[in-house]
Amino acid sequence: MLEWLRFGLCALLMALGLFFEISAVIGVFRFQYVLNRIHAASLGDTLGVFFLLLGLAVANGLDMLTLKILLLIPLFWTTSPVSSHLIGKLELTTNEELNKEVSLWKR
Amino acid sequence: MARIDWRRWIEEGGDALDRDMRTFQAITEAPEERDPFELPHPRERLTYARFHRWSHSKGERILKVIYFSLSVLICLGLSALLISTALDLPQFGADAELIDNDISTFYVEEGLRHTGAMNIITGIILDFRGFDTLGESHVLFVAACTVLMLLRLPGGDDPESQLARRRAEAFDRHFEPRGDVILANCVRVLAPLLIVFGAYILLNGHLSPGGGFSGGTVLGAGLILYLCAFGFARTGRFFNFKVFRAVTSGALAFYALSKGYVFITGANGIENGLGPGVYGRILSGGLLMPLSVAVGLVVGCTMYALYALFRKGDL
Repeated sequence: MLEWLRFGLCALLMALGLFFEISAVIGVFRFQYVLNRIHAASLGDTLGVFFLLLGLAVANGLDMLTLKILLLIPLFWTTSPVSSHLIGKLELTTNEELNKEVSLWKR
Repeated sequence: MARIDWRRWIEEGGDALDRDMRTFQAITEAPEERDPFELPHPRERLTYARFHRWSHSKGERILKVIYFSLSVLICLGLSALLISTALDLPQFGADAELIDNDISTFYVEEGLRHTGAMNIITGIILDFRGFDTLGESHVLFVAACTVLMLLRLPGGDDPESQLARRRAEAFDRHFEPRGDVILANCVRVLAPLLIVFGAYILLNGHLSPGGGFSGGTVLGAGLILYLCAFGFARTGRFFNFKVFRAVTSGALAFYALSKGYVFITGANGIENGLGPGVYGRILSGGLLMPLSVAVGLVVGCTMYALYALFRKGDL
């Protein structure tokens, strides 16, 4: 019974993670502009990876490997948004025709 | 030049961008062109003219003949070598030759006893095939030296090299994410972790998956991340050209000397005092750990040097 419960929880988490990853991949290929694309890609890098790793941790049970898997989550959650931020900032600084792509917010 | 602030472009519209582009172009516009082949001394000019005449008449023809015949010969020789090797290979799908090939089973079964390495890959790379790895690390070193020769900016006081350095500085300031608070705070946590992890991979290469090349790559990545976040002024405090030169040549010299010692003693049947030690301890496996540290230092320094040279032209 408990095993089945764990399997169900793991499958649910993995399915959620896969849903986010698939939507991220579709977004990266369907969107045309960089800022839209990093919006989609960072979704997969944070939420998708989070749910997938959580599902792996549930499937593995409590031991050292689970601790390592859970330590991966803060790593991904710090590095991936920072790299998305840098890509977006680079786009802002180097695209000379930014007005054509986005409506700039003026204070 | 004042630091170009991207936020100002957004708030003030296109005018600020145009103004910044104008100042940027004024700094980076090219100096007056001079003939780089113009020689200052009349005797040098005369010698040059003589060589020029010779190379355009007789010498050119001789060199062309030598060049063409040599290129054809080398090409034919290499293809003959490759074809003969390919003909000697076992038939595809015939596994009889692979079963009889006992060198791989020897590595797997006897590697631990001969090298003292729990991770048999490190044992093969650094012990059975240590000569090959020595060549590989020298290839990396030569690549770094070549990039240094091609891309390093001149360090003199004359106006041209000063201008080149100022231009590189302006490009670096303009396009790189320097002074980014988010990246800096992230790197303040991540870079020490990365460097410690690289050192762990280096030191533990003979016990767990890892070794010189992977650990050195992690080390180099940590250094590059630190450079991205804090700029050349901060990294120059602990890693400049002198450190690069000392570390890479020292590591390569250590590798070559220790391997030479092992080769000489091994070939002459002398006891070298470098037994495999107790399996599983960190101080075991003879020279494996120092060798993987040396290889890792070379790899990390080369990665960092290539990145820094391609980015700014200096370490």
